[in-house]
Amino acid sequence: MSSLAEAVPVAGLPQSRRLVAAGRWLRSNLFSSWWNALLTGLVLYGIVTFVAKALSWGVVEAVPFSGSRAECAAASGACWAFLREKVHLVLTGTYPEPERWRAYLASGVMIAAILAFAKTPIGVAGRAVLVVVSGTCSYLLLRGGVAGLPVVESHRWNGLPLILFLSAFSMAAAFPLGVALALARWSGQRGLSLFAVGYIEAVRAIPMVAVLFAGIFILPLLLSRGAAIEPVAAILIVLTLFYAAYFAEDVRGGLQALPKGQTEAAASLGLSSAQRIRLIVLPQALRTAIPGITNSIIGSFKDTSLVAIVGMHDLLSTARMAYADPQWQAYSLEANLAIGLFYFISCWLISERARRLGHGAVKAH
Amino acid sequence: MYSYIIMLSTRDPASEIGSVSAPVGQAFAAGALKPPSPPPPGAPLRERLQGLAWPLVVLLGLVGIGVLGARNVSANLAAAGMEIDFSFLWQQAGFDVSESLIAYTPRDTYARVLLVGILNTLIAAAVTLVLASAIGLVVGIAMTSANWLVRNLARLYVELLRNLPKLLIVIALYVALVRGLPHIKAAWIGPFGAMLSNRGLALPSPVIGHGGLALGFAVSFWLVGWAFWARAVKLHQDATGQRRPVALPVLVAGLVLYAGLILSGVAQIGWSVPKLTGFNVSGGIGLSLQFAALVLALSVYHGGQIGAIVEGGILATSRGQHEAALALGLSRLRTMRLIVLPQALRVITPPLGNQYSNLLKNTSIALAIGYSDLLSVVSTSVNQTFRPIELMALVALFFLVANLLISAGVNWCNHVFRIRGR
Repeated sequence: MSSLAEAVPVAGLPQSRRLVAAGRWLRSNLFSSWWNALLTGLVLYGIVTFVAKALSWGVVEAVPFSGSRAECAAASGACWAFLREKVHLVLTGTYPEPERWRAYLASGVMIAAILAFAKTPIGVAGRAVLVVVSGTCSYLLLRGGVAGLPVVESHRWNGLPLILFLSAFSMAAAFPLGVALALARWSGQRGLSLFAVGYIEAVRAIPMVAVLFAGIFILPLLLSRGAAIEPVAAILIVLTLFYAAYFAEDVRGGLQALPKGQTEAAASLGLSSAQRIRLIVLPQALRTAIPGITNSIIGSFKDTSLVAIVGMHDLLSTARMAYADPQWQAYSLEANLAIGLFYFISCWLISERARRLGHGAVKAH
Repeated sequence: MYSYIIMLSTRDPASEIGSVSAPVGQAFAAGALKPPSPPPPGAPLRERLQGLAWPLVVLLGLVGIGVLGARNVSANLAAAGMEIDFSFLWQQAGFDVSESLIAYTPRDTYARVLLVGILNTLIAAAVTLVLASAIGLVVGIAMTSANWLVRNLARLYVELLRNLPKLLIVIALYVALVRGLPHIKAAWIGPFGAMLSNRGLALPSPVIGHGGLALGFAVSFWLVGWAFWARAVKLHQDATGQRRPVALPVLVAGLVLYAGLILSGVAQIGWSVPKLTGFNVSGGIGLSLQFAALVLALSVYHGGQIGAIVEGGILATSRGQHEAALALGLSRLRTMRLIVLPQALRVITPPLGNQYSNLLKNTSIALAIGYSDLLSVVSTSVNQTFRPIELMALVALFFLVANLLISAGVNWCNHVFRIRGR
């Protein structure tokens, strides 16, 4: 991580001394032996070639967003005009065009809710209310059938609103369930703990694709006869059940790290068991579990894209629709790069937020 | 009053240094505060919970849901005139697969197509495991390199893959390969008749003409001889401190054996070279594009995660070990191979086992690019037979058993790598 400025305090030195310091840094970090010098040379050559190729493809030879298809066909570089042409298809898929604003508004509501959930100090109850309210709002917006909005079938909820809806609300429901499972495992109550261990281990052994299939094929059979369940709801339920096992495993780590003296001290103060869990056990266990939970959140967010395999049209799948168009067939790389950028930035924001949460927690003491 | 416990701890300097999760315990242990009441009666919380009624309520609720679900399933099946029955496994499957390790035609049974799927899953996982481990090892070592450029490049790689969905990598790679590689009619022909096109890679493969038994004997003889020689070299080194060569004599002996068998005419080995016949490739061994894309993408993806694990293991090895080895005059490569990595392995094994289990599960995204792994043949079978419960039970069984085997393997490795004696 040491950058040039960090490694050598060059500021404030006279010019010649600065050069010497920089030279020393270069020698110790890049050219310390013939082998390191060779490695540096090779890697530099690789980076320069790659960056040059990427720049010529993505910038110099590329057609900008404002370009046309004819220009793209003539150009040898990237066709960013393709992304402008297909932006609505990639973001909302087959959502009916006159109603498209509802898909965007619902996405906006969900993004605002996610930000509020992560950034504002509203406590557990406030967050629960936020989840329910934003969930209802985005569901009604997407679905319609109220306030004169025409109904849009759930198989036409595609792209961005779909992955936001599935990942945000499955995780919001899975987290408390995971905490409950972890507590059940930790409780020492034999029946409950056995159930929790069996559930967590079984779910974690099975691939997510299999779980999604179970949601599509088996979940409807579990309902009473005649009752139907929409695929989106079925997927939401199985995702919740699936992610809960992973969250439970993270929280278990935090519970295990909790010294026994904590609960004993809390008991000696006369706290009831519910109070001990709420005020002493969970705050500390969850704080210890932040890194694991962050990994699970990022993993779950990325893995929600697997719903494409059971025929839900998430971003990967709408991007595929875009470059399946015979007129724009050659530009799959542009679409996949854009989707990759979206995931990279989202996941990076999540880990950045978690990192700050970790620091904040340490500082508070 | 309850936040009191946490607040008190801020006055205890020990908790500032130590982990934030231990304020009360440390405060009590250090005698920094007097307990407001005598120490707890001794019964920890988990035991106290046992006396409560709510676990029973929760359990009863779960059992109730289970019973209700089972009743609904049997009612739904009865309405469709079906019951749980595995005999469909012996019916004709009637669909084809992308590739198979064993002979298979659409006229074979569902049981056989499931076996084809299981073998395809296992072979993809096995090849990915080897490739991902190799990538992870290189990336992990690069992350601890003294070279600033190499170190940060490796970090960038790990960070990038941590933030990208695996399905995106698989699909992007597959689409890029299909569109980027030439049509089969214009396939690239490499040395020895290797062919690369957007159907996949075809390589020449050895074919034993005759004398297979003699070859088998020769190979086993050679392997046993290798083991004996390695053991003798080890004993000699332990006794005298001198190291005799292993690789060269073994290689020479192998070549001599091979040449002897071929020249004397006891055995004959020919090569099957891939040839274009119409729109198909015949001869050689084929590597389909789906398989290649799946294995490459998963190796790159898990390689990044294994890299982070390897880095952690190397950093956990104390720096003194590294310096002492260098001071003894061992080269950097030998220091890594003989001193650092064996110790890192102990730290690495448990998370690595976890990765291998994830890797096996992740082969199931093969469905997205049409590789016939277990889940993809199961999905087709469910659509044809409408036997989701039976088929998903088989899938769950396969993965549960595979996971148990992986944990058993990890436990065995832990046992082998443990620190002995002292």
